[in-house]
Amino acid sequence: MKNLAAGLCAALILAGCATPRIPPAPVPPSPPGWTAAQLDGMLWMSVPKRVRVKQSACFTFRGRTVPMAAMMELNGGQRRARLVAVNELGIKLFDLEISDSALVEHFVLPELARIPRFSEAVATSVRRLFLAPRPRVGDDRLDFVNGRYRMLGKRLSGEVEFFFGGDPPLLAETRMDGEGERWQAVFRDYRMLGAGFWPYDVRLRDDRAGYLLELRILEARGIDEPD
Amino acid sequence: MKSLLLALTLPMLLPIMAPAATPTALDEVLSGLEKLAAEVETLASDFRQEKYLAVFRDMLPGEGRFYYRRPDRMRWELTQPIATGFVLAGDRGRRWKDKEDKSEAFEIGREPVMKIVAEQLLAWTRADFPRLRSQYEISLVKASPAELRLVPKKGMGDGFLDYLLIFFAPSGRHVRQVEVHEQGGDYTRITFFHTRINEALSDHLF
Repeated sequence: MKNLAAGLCAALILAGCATPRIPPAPVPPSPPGWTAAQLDGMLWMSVPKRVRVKQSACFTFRGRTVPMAAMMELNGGQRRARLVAVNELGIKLFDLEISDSALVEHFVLPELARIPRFSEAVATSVRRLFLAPRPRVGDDRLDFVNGRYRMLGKRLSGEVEFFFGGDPPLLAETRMDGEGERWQAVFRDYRMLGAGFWPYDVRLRDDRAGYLLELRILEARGIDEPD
Repeated sequence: MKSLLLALTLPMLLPIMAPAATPTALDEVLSGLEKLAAEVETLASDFRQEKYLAVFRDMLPGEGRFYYRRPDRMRWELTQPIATGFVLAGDRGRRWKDKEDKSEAFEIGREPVMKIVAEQLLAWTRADFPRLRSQYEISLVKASPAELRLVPKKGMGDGFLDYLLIFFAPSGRHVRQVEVHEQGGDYTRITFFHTRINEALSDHLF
């Protein structure tokens, strides 16, 4: 009895600590027959040219919520992004250059720089949403169940799943679960912007690092200016 | 940073300040603005905010509302592209995102950025004009409608602020536009419109 009570308490405590997943948006079923390469080709990070993205965001990290407006230049070909964010007074919060494996801090507001690992958390978020991980065509396993595509693969940091839904099939959710990382990104309300289909509503939650990023993509257009 | 916050909070309150005694064209203009603004107890205005980012050669747009009530109440509310804002009331403040009913209180003394906003707000409300002149070289670009150019003196601006441009409405009773130019080419342009003066402002705004 004592063990049962202890077990129930432990279960309740664990349930209380576990954060519920962000529900993906209900989308119509996808048509069958799409290949992994076709699905990968629908991703915004597959666009080889540079894209200018305007967005609003709310970043909650270590108990601090930072609302911001941001502009980002995404270079899918070179897998890097430059992100500048400002607050409600137009004061620049940070200017970061992010690649697969590197972060350059061009500017970070001193007040934010005092939050431990703030820039790294922003950079990690940008990577997960816009740079990596990406499906590995030919390596990741592709399933089509209940009108939804799932690509499942192994990465160094754990097991990653990409869910595609709707017609045409668009990325609805990415999940990473491993010893080193556990996070979920949900992409909703796709809209045709200048640079293809982009999700208007994006949420990323990292249970390990303890942050939540809520993003609204307002504008995305290809740019032809020299780099 | 301090200077940028000062620059952003100063413009709407400029007419409240007292002029210097030197009888120059600038002083005459400031004196005129002071007289026009002497009876200003409240300000309410919509604004359009544009942040030019030199690295992208592109503009981030925003919209919002501004409210001020003597002696120490201020509300800055951004409505686009994100709903967020803050209120300063004496030594207290609260801020919110999305919905104001979920605002969180903060003590200004514990928030460095907000503390600077509050300090500067009070400084201008107290018509500390010598302080302004100790921090900026002010020049008159145009007498009517008044346009001022403020260049931070040595040691001011933290190597960050380049200059400010302040444009008054034809009536001279309120600021129409402010531009905060930073070193490196970024600037913030805030254009105030639908400005109402001495309109009764509900307590719930603050």
